[in-house]
Amino acid sequence: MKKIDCDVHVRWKSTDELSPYLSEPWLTRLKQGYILYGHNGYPNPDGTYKMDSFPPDGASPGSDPFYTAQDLLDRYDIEKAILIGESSHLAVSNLANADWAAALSSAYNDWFINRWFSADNRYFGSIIVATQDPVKAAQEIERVGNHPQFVQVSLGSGSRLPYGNRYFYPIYEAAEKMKLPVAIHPFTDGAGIANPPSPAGYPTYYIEYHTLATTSMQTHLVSMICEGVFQKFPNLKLVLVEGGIGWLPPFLWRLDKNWKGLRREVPWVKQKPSEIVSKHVRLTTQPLDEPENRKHLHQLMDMMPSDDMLLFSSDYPHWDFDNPEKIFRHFSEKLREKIFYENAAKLYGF
Amino acid sequence: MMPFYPVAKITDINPGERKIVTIKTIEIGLFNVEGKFYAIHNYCPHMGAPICSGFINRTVNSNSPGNYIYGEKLVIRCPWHRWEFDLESGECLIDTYKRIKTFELSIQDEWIYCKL
Ligand code: FES
Repeated sequence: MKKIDCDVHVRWKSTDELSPYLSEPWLTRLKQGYILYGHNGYPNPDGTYKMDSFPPDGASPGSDPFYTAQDLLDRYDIEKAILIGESSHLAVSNLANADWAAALSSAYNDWFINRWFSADNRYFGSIIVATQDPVKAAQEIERVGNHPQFVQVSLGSGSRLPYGNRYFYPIYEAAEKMKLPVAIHPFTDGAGIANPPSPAGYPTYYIEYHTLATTSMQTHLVSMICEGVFQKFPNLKLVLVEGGIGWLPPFLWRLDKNWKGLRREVPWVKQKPSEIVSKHVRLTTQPLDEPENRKHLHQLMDMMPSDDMLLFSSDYPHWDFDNPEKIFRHFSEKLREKIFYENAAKLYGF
Repeated sequence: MMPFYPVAKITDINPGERKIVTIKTIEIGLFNVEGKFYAIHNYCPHMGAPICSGFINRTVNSNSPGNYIYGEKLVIRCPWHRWEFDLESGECLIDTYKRIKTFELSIQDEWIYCKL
């Protein structure tokens, strides 16, 4: 079965790869080892990678375009891969210095084009923007957004404001204009200048941090719906990447119920939130929920607003990789085709 | 009687090292850990990872928060989702229905023989 993998992580072998895309004064900072991203305090104690994904030369997993093509695309019959960088790329938005962050995000985008897109035409990518200056971020989207292998704009979940806030409008306006969905990817919560990783503060362990990735997704989603982002930008699409899927149906039951009585507070929200989500929002599947009783996954699919919602993702080369040959095996052929290929092809215009 | 196959010389696998061999299309990982050789099927029952590239660790347990009991059992931990399997029995520590296949070894004249 043909597949589009909607969450593939890539990085550099050495930061020297970024040098051609930075001018002074930033190039000197890079060479002096200046801070590249806002760190979160929650590393996986055993490292982030699936241990069999190191290229033969021992470089970091996901740092060699040819090896990734062989180890992921060829092996699992993946026709197209949507590259997301690493959460550290997305965490440019959590650096204190907005100008450095903007320069770095532009360098990343040029690096994607030259290092990855030109290596293999199965690679597609996500424009990295620095949200500290939304106007500059919009300019960056317009600068590279016409490249045929950039198919979305990506934001990290770690932020100082929920993403429905009007502060972010320039980014959505540019994305809509360039016909690019906006993706939110977790694991930058609590990094650098971002807010704490949970509304209640700082958890202690990586297992908590990883599990709670769903909560910032919920915060950004409810914010974008209630602040009217999809009314203001009616062609905008949102992709929630790696933030889980199982929470969505009961979350929408709650929001729909509240909307019935409270919509006077947000009168621009003219449709039931679940209808807005069905039209504008997609979710990637990894890390797929694994209920003990397999039937519960079928029931979950029944509860989703539609069969068009889910996009297959593997998260290669990370430790929580979903093997496409093992997941969704008990779903109907038609639903599998939608999740593995058609939903993404439609969203990204392939 | 299931046959024993010669799979490696003991000098091929130094202490702390591992080697993957194939017998009749079955990939088997041989490990030399703490003075003993182990053999397991290179296939994780969860999502099919090549488990033999995982971590060899001792368990970390506890009897109260903040207390750590290190080292009760030897485990191999999957290179993907890090599930733990008893290296001796192949049993998954959190779900005994899931296990990796282990193979009996015999050592004679510097050679390791594996029973299929
Ligand atoms: S494939 Fe081994 S733990 Fe998931």
